[in-house]
Amino acid sequence: MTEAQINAPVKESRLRALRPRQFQDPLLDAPVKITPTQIFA
Amino acid sequence: MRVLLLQPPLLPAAEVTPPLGLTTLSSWLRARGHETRILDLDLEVRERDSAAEDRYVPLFERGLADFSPDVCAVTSMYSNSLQAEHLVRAAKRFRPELVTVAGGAHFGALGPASLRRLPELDFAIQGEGEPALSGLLDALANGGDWKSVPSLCHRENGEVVTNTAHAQIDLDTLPPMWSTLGESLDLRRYVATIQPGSPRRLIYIEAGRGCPFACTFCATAPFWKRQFRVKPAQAIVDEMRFLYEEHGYDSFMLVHDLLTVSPKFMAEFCDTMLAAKLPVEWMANSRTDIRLKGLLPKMKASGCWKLFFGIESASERIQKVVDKHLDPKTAETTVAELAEHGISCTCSFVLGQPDERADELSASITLGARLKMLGADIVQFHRLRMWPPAPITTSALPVDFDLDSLRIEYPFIEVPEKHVEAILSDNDFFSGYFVPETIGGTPNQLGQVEMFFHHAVTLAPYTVAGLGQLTHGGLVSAFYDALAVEGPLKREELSWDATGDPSANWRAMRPLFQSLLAHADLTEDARTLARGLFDYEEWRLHFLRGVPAPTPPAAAGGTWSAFLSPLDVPQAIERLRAGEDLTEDLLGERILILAREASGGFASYELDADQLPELQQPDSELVRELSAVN
Repeated sequence: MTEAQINAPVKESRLRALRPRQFQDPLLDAPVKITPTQIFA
Repeated sequence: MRVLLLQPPLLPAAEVTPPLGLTTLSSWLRARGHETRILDLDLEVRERDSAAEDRYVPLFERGLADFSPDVCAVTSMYSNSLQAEHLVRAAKRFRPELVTVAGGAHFGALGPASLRRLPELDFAIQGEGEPALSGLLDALANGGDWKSVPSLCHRENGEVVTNTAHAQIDLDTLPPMWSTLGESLDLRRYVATIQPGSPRRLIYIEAGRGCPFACTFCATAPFWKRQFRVKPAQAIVDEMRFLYEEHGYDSFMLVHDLLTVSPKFMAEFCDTMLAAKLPVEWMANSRTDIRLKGLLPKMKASGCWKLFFGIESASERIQKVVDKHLDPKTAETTVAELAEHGISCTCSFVLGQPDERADELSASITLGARLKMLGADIVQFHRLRMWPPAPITTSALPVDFDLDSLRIEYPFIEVPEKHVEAILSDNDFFSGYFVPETIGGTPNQLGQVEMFFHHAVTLAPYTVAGLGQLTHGGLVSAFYDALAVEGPLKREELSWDATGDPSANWRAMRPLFQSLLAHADLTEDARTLARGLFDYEEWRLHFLRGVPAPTPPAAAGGTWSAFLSPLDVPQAIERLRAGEDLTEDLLGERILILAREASGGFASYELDADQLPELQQPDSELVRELSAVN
């Protein structure tokens, strides 16, 4: 984690009390796009 | 002399970048006193109507009338060689005394055959074009003898003759490119094709030529005689500066078959970029076994955002057969290492080597899906095609033709019957349209593998990686079973452009994908795992796109959506990324929630299945809190 992430204010604290757990899907951060066929794209 | 440099239409794409070979030739010829104009019919066609198959010849004739050249020089990739041939014929019809010359990837590899096939073609240039074309123009202008022009193919007493080749040029001798093009090319028209909202303004520039490796399927390494050459780093950076400052391009593909093979050059290039302080990014071609680890921080700092890797196959046996000799395991390490440094990559595979088995194809597709999970921006699957002068094209292999496969790379989606007949009539000259026979499947099956998995890995990599693992090499044979039941995907039902709609592609592929899940040889638990991943990725895709999924969510609010999963998806993702097995202990219902944050990002949560009733109550505390996620 970066320093900024470590020190970031905790969000969704009330949500946490309601038991949802955050999970990581790296593809959520990636743009959803079609793969072009051009080589070297 | 007045020279019209001609680019035939290429495959449909929303954004068009200038034809690099012709641009280099134009600056080379202008430095020697010739007048040039580049007529890019790819751009001309795309500016008007990308479906207009019959438009490009009239556009060419208008270009001839406007410029009135002495010489028309046409380039061609393999995919537009038929269009190049039509244009050469049109040039002679237009004015019989117009001198016609052909070069580039296709004609440069098939010079003598081109002259034998095309009476309307006066000259062809084998290999590197600059000195041969300027030598020919000098000979034509001065009434000289072109028999001494190196690498030139011409006719002599009815026979086709090829002049002796010369040493390839020192790239230091190339003139500055973009700034010397004058009126021969209007870059603003290319800039205008950049799509609104496009994250980068991309242009291809040449960094150098030649790869020292000898992969059997590769045409460009032998084209450049496997001689590694680079432009001076400062010259490349000067080109980038001009294009950035004058035209706003901020992303550069440094075209070179294997730029990173020289770490010394890479370090020098990065230092030059850092000193230039340009707010731009660049990408280049590499191999996953070239160790760049120590250089990665400097590459990133100098603007490297991506590398391109030809991985070709996950099979060590095929790696040896094709003389590539990559250890497929290094691919995963390298892609993950790049991701740690904030550098992305495109990973490309070549499918359909003559003795490549279906289980080896399955392994390559599975590896591609894993690389997507580990941080690859793009994973491409390309069918092996016979592109001269690749070593494989000299081995007289039996070849096949497949229309769907051709249409993936053809300049026009509709391929007229007469074009197909022309291509089929000469499978030596048009060999780039042909594929070698392979034990991995019939031509139609392989065409469908290319078409389906190219998109499936992009849209649902966890499902493909999971299925690949769970079927133990049976992924492709299960796909063939599904194909036999569902029938083939159609080229025109799928978008192949990054600006297209992924959810539309998903709808086109969905029946075949579901059939693949049904036909995979799996235990009941394994099928539940695979189907659970499929359903999750379908839901994720549609939520991220903001469009309704084919299956309604278990619950939803304005900014969030909940999905009832039969397995522990977060744990399955971790296992797939770590290369660990998916096992039945992952089974068990739970709720997954995706929420759109005010910043435009996404948050993801999991919840016990017994909380579903709470989620389905619009006024519950849980729903109120979820709706407030920002």
